[in-house]
Amino acid sequence: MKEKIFILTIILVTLGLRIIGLKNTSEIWVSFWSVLIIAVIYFIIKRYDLHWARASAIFLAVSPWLIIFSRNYFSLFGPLDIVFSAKEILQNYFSFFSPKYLFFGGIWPNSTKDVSYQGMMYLPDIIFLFFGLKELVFKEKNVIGKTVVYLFFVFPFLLSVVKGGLFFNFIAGIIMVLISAKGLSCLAEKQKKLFYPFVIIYLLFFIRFIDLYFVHQ
Amino acid sequence: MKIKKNNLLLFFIICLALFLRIWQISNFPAGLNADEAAIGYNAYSLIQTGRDEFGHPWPMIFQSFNDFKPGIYFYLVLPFVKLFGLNELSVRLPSAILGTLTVFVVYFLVRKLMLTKKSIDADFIAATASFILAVSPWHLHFSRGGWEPNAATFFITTGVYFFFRAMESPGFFIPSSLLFILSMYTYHSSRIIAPLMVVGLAVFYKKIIFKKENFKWIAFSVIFGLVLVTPLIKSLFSERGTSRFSGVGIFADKGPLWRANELRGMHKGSSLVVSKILHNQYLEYTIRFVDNYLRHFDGTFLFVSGDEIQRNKVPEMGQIYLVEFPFLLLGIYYLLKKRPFSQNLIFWWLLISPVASAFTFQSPHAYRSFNMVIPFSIITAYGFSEFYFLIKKRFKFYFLFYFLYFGLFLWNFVFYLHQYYVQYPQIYPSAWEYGFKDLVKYVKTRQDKFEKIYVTGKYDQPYILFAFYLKYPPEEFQKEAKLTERDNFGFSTVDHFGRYYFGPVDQNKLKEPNCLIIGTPEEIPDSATITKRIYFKDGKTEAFRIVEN
Repeated sequence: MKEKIFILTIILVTLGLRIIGLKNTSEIWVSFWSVLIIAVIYFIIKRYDLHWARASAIFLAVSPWLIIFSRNYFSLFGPLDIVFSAKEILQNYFSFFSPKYLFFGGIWPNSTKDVSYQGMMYLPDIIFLFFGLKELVFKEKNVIGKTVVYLFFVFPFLLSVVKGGLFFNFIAGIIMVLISAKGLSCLAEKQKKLFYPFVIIYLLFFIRFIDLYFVHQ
Repeated sequence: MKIKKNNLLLFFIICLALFLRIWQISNFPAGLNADEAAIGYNAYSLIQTGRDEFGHPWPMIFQSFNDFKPGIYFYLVLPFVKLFGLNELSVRLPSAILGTLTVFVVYFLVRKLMLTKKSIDADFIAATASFILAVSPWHLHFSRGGWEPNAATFFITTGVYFFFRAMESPGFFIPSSLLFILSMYTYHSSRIIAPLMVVGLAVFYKKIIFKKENFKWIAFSVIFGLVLVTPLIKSLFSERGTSRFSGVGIFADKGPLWRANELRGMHKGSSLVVSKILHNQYLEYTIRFVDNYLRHFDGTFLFVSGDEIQRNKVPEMGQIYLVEFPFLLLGIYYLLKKRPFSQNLIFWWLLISPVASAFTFQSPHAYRSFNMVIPFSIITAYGFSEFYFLIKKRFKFYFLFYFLYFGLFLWNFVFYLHQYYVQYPQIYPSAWEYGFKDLVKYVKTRQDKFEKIYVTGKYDQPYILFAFYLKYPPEEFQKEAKLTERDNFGFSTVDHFGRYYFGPVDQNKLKEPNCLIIGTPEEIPDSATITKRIYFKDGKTEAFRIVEN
């Protein structure tokens, strides 16, 4: 019963954040796809780790990256270009991990107005990312944990070498959210003193994003 | 035998470090920047008159461009100016020596940090760390100029080393405390980093140091330190202390404040509590600070293109060799996994190093966050060492890997040297204000024929470069020179002394009789009667054009 209420709440929050204000039918369809993606990820992770699955569902529902993607009809696959310049590949690789991309500026698609002062994640995610990555690298032994770590290191290479479309960024965004969610579940279990202050700060940044997106856009 | 082998290795590393730091030091970096000239000329002024350029007797903080520079490096330069005269070598040599000594100290420090780590050889990690620092582009760059952060980093590193010595012999708490205080009198950033480092050391090693038998020494060191730091604390609250921060500090940039107001204004009722909570200057400045701070860990800054300021960077180079990147990651991995004795301290050192820099509006800043180079070198060395022993144990042909890696490292190192000695003066010809030496040499032969000499103000603080190369008598300079009002960044300059006038060169000046006019190609058109052209080090780009009326 508890689980069903949780899932229902997540679905409502996800849909609410993605549908409010939308008029275009194709954009509404994208929102439903988003709910489906969250559900699939939730059920896959749940097989291995319930807390992580819940945290992932929450973070995927409120992720600025996924909210904006799910509210617009973007072409994920553009014409593909291979980057041959070593310097450009390196810059692309490091830019994926850059604070500007992750927390302060993002690379929002041209077809949306810039979501000013917002990166792909919320600033407090940096703490969750640290704890999540630490936990996944050193302690997590299951397949899903190993896969996420593997993708975390491999995906930026693809992003660096292949240009075109936002598909890789989309997937990479999900991976980052999953790591961050792992950090949240880890903090909830092991560092309870840190957990509540960070959740409050996280909420503040979430409200700030909602304000920036819905009021200031 | 083992000790001899280690000593020989250390000797080789130190010789390499010294050679890389002093070879052609007068000519590369090509030119002399205004801060270096200020250090040199003030030291010269003290030798000649016992006062700085503006007549302050033996100051601890130098007024200079109204940026009130901490004074220790000036006093370190002083004996060199006395010995070798007022030239580039005298200003840069103390930094090169301290840079080499840092490499030496890092060896012994890492041995202390890793001593309790039994699985691999502490001497090997120490030698690797000091070698990485010896050839580090970041450390080499700031060891080859008259830069204060290099001296401050030496003091902090040695202070940490003496702290570890004090764990065995508590008398070392006093030199440790003295060195941290010295770093605070050497460079602005250290006023934040040194206290944070002391707090970190006290917290991480509280169980070891806070013992009954150490109490006397710790108490004495604290009192000794407080007495020495009191004048500095007092000065921090005076104009001297605040001027620098008001010029380059994060609050000098009003962007976050305007942004908060702009966003608040977009809400229907701008006085709403919610809009105040979401959009206020405290939050915006905090976000700006965190943004500035995190930029120092950006891979592009560290491994690809380095600092944005031309004076602080070598073209096409990051602050660290790209080939070190995998070992830096491995170093972090092994530090977190194996948790050696010093794990917390190394991470703490890395995390506090960019704090002072993040409080300024230019970020990332290689100069202000220079302390990062030490923990980065240690972590990389640790990652390399762990990997070295792992591969050695598991693979028969491990040496093939090292051969390959050595080749890559050598390529990266040679590439850096090429960029530094060949490309740097060509790509950024004006970065180090090259040309003033030739200019002053020329002007000296002509100056008696003219009533006034106008010098362009396009380059940074030209007055001090003229005073430096002219070896202008300090007693006269002290009487004649007056600082102008501060500019937007809090800096002042001197617009004239003797027959020299500094500022923009316009058409009216070009027509003025009986004067020598020195301008840039943008200020003096081709149509003017140009009697001499001075070029940058690249030999192609004009630095100055001279007109004689």
